[in-house]
Amino acid sequence: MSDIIQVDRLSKIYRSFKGAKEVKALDNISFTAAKGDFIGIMGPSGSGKTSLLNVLSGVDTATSGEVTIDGKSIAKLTKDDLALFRRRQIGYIFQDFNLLDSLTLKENIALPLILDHVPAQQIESRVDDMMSFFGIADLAGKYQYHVSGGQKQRVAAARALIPEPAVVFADEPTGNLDSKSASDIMDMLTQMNEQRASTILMVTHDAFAASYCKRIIFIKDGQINLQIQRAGDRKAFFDKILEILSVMRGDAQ
Amino acid sequence: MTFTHIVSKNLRYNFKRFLSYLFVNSFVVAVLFMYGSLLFNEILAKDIAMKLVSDYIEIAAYAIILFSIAFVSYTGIYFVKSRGKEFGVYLTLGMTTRDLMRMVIFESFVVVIGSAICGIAAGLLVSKLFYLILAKILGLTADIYFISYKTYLLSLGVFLFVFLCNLLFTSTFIRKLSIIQIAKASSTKGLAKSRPVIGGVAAVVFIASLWSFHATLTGNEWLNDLMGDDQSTWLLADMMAMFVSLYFAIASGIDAVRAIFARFPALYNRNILILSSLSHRFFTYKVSLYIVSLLIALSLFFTGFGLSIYSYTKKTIDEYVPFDFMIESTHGINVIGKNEIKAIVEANGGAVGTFSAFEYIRNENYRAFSGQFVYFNKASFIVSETNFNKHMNMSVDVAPDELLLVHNQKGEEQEKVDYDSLLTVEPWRAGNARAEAFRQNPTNADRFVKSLGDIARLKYEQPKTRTMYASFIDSYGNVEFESVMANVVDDSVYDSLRQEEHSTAYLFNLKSGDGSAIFAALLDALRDKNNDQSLWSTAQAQLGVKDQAEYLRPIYKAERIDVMLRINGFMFFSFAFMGLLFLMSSIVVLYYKIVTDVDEEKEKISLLKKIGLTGAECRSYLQAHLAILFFTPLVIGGIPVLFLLHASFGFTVYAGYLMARVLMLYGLFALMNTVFYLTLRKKFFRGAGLAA
Repeated sequence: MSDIIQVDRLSKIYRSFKGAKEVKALDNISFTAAKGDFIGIMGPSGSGKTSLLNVLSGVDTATSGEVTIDGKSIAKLTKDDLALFRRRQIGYIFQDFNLLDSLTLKENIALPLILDHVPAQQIESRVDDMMSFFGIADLAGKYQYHVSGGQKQRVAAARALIPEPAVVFADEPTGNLDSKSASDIMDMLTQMNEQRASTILMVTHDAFAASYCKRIIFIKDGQINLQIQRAGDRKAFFDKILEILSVMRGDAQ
Repeated sequence: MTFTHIVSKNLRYNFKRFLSYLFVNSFVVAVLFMYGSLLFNEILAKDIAMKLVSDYIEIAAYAIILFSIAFVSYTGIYFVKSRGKEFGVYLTLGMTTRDLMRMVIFESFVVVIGSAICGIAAGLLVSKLFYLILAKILGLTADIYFISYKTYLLSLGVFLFVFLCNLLFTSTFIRKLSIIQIAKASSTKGLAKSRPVIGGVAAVVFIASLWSFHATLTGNEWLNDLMGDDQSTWLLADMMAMFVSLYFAIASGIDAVRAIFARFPALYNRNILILSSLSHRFFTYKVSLYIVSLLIALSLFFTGFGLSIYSYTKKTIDEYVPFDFMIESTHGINVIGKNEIKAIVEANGGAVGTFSAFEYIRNENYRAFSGQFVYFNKASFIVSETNFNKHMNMSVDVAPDELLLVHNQKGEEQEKVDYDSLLTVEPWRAGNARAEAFRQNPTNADRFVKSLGDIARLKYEQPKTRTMYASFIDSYGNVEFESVMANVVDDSVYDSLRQEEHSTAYLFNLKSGDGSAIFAALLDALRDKNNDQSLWSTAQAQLGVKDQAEYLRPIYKAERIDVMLRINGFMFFSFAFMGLLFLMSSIVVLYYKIVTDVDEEKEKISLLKKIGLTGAECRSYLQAHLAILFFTPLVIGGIPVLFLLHASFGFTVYAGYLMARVLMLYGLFALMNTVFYLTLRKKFFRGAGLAA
């Protein structure tokens, strides 16, 4: 399998601000992800999880190091190319959903395609398809303030997947959800990963959500602390994650 | 940490928002103040020109006060609603509504004091500046700046009143609604239902009242029959209908645009961001488009009206006053001869150019239409064809039973002759009194002729009457530059009136010399002749009474032009001033709209960027949003006003010229709007987190 994400000695340093010390959010991180991978990134608050995701998705720039996604080095892209790259190659699922108030849920899902000038009929069929995949076909004409958090996150997932991106980034997708909705959305992500062969990179601090992943990278102080691979059933993996987390916490103390 | 501490911290945190809120409120105070400087200007009030404008100024009062109320409440409501989340948090944390109200009242207190001080200061400064600039443009020499205490009362009074109402709204808002509703207010503030039926009806009403207004002004017969004598009530009703229906029509217009786009998915998709935001923020779009359209309409109307009156007078003054000087000698007043006049001119270092002693007999006109006998109210006189030809260097020929009507106002000669004419000749005052009596108690033609007794009269039949245009005399009536009419008749007919009072107008041009000195000398000579040194102390004397020396002041063209420019200049000044106030108001409404939109857009843009919108695409979306706000009102407000002004120019042959002037003004509006748009666009882009 070819590597779809290659991260090579990536560093991100936040310059000192208002007299605070400069912060090394990412310190020489390297890893790769193959097509069809489902990777979880875990670590305590301030460990650099979100910084990593921002740099990978091109929302933020790295201080040094290289990120290659689907054969393209994102540091070399111009601002506009980067925008187009994000639109076509990257799907993004946010903790707070980030749906537009003014659009119906269906329009929200269609937005990446609309922005890309895909013909209207094609949009129609692809979006309908995606909505039934996520079990939200009946919400088409509704607005985001009409529906629950779990439903919003499904819409956001559908939006992330609609352009058939090379990679889907998920930033704490269960962070704002109750446990039922959280397990629903994780099932969805697993389905995406298995049935549609989507490559997913998810940042989370929730061990339960992480247990759905195939592989987990633990980050601490901007560095990769540990990587584990799932083997066998989810329950065992979940226990393993909890164990590692408690060890890491112990280290910290 | 005390309550006051939190309140003041809160003020500082919301500083930017407060600043724009303070700014618009100060602006309203300033506009009211500036308007007051015109309404309560005692120097201007003494001027006769202002008597002509005062009606319009009072009408503008309604518009300005209404605007103040609408705008202050709109900004106030927005201000409260946009902070719903903050209020919600306070309430959730256990702040009582009483505490919250205390905080809001304290804030309001700061805003009121600040707005009052800034507003009055800005009003003083800007009004002074306006007066200076406009006076300079119009060439007014007198100092016309005057601020009465009433100006202060008006601006502060109206503002405080509206502000108190706002506070009442806020307190109801906070007390009545649940925490959730208050906290949600900012994300639902733009939602409103669309009402296609009301909107459709409103659009029809709007167009119908526009047509009706136009038709009334241009004299549509069917409509005139329908409304009878109540023309002004009718026009007022039309205006009200236009104002009200426009509001609903705009709403349905927005809906219609969306509905049309929705039929073409490709087109809809290409504009999805702006179209969806149109309906999502339907209410604010609707309200701001309406307010701005109205303000632009009012501004264009006032400025355009002032401009066209000014331009019209300037354009026509040469027709009405073709000669440098005129001395009218009649009823034993101003008895002077050609040689005497020439001697006076030469004694004062001048030389006479063309000179004409134009003789005529004053008369009154009655006209018999089929089935109706009316008095035709117009300054007029009877002239023999020989005298007319000599004076005008023409060769018209009129048979004894023929009448040639010569108008000195272009266009009047084109009016259809569908009447027989009856000209009565008697001393001016008696003729005037008879006409007045007839107007009070109209009779038919036969009875009227019988009542004339042995008063001289001439009768002409419709087929024997023709008309022409010629600028033949310096006309003056009791209104500045009223047009006159000459009844040119055959010499034999004229001779038959030899018993009647003849008048002579000495009309001449200067070949060289100082006109004002010569005019002063002529006035002195005529005061001596009339044995009254107190005559004609001012150029603004009422003119038109033909048997009293005071009213027969000789005409000096340069002086008339001065007077004209003064009167029309004042009128133009007042109209332009009000126009500017409305224009400034529209700009501030737009400004406030942009300031309040920026935060919302910023959030949206950062989201869109994450999804993968390029900078250019973000800009084009924001630009569309701005362009709608800036240019739709120019069309919605501007086009109907152009249409109405066009209707009001129907009376003159110079309608085309006046329309061109008004269109130029409209162009200027559009240009200013564009400049303002370009300026704010940069700010908007930057505010929304995009490099300009």
